[in-house]
Amino acid sequence: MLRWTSLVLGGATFLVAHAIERMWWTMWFSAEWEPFFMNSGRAVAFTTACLLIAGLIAAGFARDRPDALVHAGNVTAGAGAVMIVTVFAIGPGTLFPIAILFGLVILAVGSYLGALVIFPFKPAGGSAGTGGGRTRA
Amino acid sequence: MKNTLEARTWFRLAVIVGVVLTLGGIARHTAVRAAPGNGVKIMPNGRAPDDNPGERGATYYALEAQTSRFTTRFHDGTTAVAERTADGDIETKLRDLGGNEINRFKVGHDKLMYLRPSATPVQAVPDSGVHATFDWSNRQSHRLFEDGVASGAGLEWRDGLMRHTSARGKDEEAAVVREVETRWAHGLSARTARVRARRGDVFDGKPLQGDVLATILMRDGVEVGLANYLTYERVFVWTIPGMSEGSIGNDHLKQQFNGWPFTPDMVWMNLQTIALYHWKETITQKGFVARCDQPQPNPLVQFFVPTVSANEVGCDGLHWLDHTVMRYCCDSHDNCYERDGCAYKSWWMFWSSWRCDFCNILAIRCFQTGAIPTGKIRRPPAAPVDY
Repeated sequence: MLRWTSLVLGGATFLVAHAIERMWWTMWFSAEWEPFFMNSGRAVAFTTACLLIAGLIAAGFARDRPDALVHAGNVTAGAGAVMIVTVFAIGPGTLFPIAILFGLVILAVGSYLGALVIFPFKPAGGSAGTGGGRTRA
Repeated sequence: MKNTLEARTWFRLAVIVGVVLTLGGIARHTAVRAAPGNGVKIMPNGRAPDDNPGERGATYYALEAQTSRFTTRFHDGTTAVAERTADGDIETKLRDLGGNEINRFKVGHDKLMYLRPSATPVQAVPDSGVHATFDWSNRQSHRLFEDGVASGAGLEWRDGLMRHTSARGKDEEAAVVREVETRWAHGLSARTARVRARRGDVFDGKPLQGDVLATILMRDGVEVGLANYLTYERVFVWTIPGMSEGSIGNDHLKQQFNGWPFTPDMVWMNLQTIALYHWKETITQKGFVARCDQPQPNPLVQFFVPTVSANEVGCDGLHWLDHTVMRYCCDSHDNCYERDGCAYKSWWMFWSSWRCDFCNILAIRCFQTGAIPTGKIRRPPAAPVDY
């Protein structure tokens, strides 16, 4: 079930998105709060879009549709891990477990939507996870 | 002889001057002590002026002054309509159910006038403690009619209203007023009615008790928003789609004001809902007056020494939800944490105490229910046709 490429891709995507948000925070996203994607509606949309692209790329490596979903899950996990580190790096608020949960849902929505885009171009398959985690990549 | 006479004259003169000066001094001293306006009343630093339940503050009256027409529909079927005349006065016309004019009440700069068909007008000097608003004019007009006032004889000021000395009963909005409508500047208008909570109406997972002040906000005759004040739960909740939605309860106001500093009424509901729309629209068009830029800390220091995050106003780490109904959940959680001395490190410490966990459980439940579903916000009943 582990797809290292997608896992790293997810983490890297979140890092890049966070770096861009940090750089342009006061101009594009929010003048009020600490740069973090869930502190601004625009940043939520931007990060979701980045994860959607990452999910799409990761699903492109998949053998079939179920494998595409596994890749999307790995993208979410990679991005989620970096997000949790970021939450603690900027200082967790009093709602941090709820924030992490919300964040994971948002990242999953982006990744899985990206994977769904690639669905029509993949065979139906049905053997996700049985191939020992091998991918075409 | 002459010298003695002169000395006596000088002595008498000196006595008279002395007496006059002494009396003058005493009179002046008494006058200074008696004049209450001369003493400056000192207020301790950081304290607000003493509570005056009749006063709503400068912002409220500034908003109220932009009303062009104000209608009060009473439970007895009468309707009072107040409008500003060309000379800046307020004139109320009170009509019965059939549209027949019962009386007129004029609020001028320095006089009040009560007129009834084929009767001598009654003129009175305004009471300095009364803030003559549109609402006050309508209520006063109705009160004079209810008390059966036919002349100026036997009138007295009671609870901010001119009442006949023989009149009994209080003039309470809940018992007297059915509905109010404010026609404001910029094509905005709001209408509020007092409605009973229905079976199945819930707030924060609990059934509603008491009445609901239900407000509908219109822009150029088109509905743009709804607001409710839950009188028992003391929560103001509003939804203006695409602009703003949220709620304010006692919990939000506890820290600064120890709860609601006044009891919201129907007129306040209209003005508050109009103000929410107007201010939000102004901010969208003109932007904020001041912009607060984040300081740029050293990234290296930030990496090794993360920010010590104090509890922020709103949804910590989820500020994109600050302008949604979820804000209520975050603020309630913040208050709960502050009250029980919790911090992010004590998020889940059931092995030592359940008090912080209780706050978290309430917050999770609140997030699940969405504080109050938008669809549950009550509308006032359809407005009757104005005459």
